[in-house]
Formats: sequence, C-alpha cells, structure tokens
Amino acid sequence: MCPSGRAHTKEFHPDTLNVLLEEAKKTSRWLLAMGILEFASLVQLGILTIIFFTAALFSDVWDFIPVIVSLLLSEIVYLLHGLKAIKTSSKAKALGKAPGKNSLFSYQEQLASLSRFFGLGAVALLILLIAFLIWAFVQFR
Amino acid sequence: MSEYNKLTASGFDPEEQRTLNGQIRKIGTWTAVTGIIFLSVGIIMVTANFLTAPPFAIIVFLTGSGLFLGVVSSFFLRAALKAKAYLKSELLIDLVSVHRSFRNLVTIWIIGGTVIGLALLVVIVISAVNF
Repeated sequence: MCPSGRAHTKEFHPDTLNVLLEEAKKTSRWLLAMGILEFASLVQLGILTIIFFTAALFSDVWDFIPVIVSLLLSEIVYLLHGLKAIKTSSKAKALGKAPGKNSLFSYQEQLASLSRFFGLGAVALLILLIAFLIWAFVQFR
Repeated sequence: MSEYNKLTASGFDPEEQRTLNGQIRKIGTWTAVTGIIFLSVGIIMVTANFLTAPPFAIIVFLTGSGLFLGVVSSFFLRAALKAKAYLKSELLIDLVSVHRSFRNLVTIWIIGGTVIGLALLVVIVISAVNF
C-alpha cells in the first residue's frame, strides 16, 4: 500500500481489486437493465412508426415524412445502443467471474465503446432538437 | 498460479498501463463530450420556450426535458472528472471510482429512459386514438 493507504495499480491490492470486481458485477446488472430498456423503447418506437406510417397512407404523406425519418433514425440509435449495453454487460459479468487483466481490458474497451455511443447518441439528439426547433419556430412565430 | 493471483501479484507492466490509460482517456473524453452536448441541449430546450412561445404542453416537455438533461450532463461530467483524476494518479482506487461513476450514469440513464418510455406510451395511445 502507498503512504496514503490506497492501493496502487503496481501492487494490485486484493481488497481494492475485490471492490473493482464487485463494481463490475453491479454494473453488469445495470447495463443489462439498460439494454432491455433500450429494446423496450425500440418496440415502442416501432409501434409509433407503424401508427404514423398508417396515418400517412390515408393523408398527405409528405407531412409525415420528417416524423417517420426521425423515428427510424432513433430506432437505429436505440438498437445499436441496446446491443452495445448488453455486450458490455456480458464483458462485466466475465470480469466478475474470471478476474484477469485480459477480462479487465476487454471490459474497459467495451466501456469506452459504449461511452462513444453515448456521445454519438447525444449528437443525434442535438440534430433532432435543431430540426424540432426550426419546425417550432416556423409553426409558432 | 491462477489468473487472479497473477493479477494481484504482478499488477500492470508499462505497456498494459498505457493501454489502460488509453481506455480511460477514451471514456473520459466521450463522457465529457456527451456531458457538454447534453448540457447545451438542456439549455437550448429551456431557452427555446422564450424564443418560440409554443403551446403549454410543449413548454412542459421542453422545460422538463431540459432540466433532466442538465442533471444527466452532471453525471457525465463527473465521470469525465473521475477519469481525469485516475489518469493523474494511476491508483486502482481511482479506477474503481471511474467504474462507479459510469454505473451511476447508467442508473440515471435508466431512470430517464423509463420516464421517456412512459411518456412515449402516452404518445402512442394518443396517436392511436387520434388516427
């Protein structure tokens, strides 16, 4: 242990390692829940797309195109996000089951990838918001 | 010697430490980017009310979502700060801290996702009735 009483990575103190593994197990459960939630939202968006698509068939199709396109884009983001969350969850579970450097690196690689998806999702949200604001500005000015 | 014992006995060599730092740097950078975007989107959503003067339902939606995104962004920015702290110290306890803050942001994401899911359910019912 270092003078501050904290374990250094060079020493890999077992107590601290246990906390890391416990954290990975908990994160695994939360990520699995997140993945399931993303898929549930995907189903909801799918239903909404069908409703809007049906409505578009019986009225002016062009009024519904932006909504349908943005819904389809959101579905792609939800699908990729859900898959990535479940994959990261399985890596976290693997780390908890078989602790080792390889499993730790593999888990962290997925975490890094998932955080990239969070960022890309945020950019998609920003684009959708700008589109919505332009629409709202035209409607309510 | 089991994998666990090897891990506790040897720690990381410089090459592995670089890999680990690279991964944490990626996590830190992307959580910071996400946090900043969410904060900006939150601010835009709240201020959009004054720019467009939309109907009451949209004001509620924009303000609620904007405030929630402000809260979410704080979790992302905190995770980024933890990653920065780890990169400075390279202490295992700080690595645990990064993982914990990531779990916290997943938790807030799930809470937000559930609320949005319920709101979406209302939209589906209203849309189905209207069409």
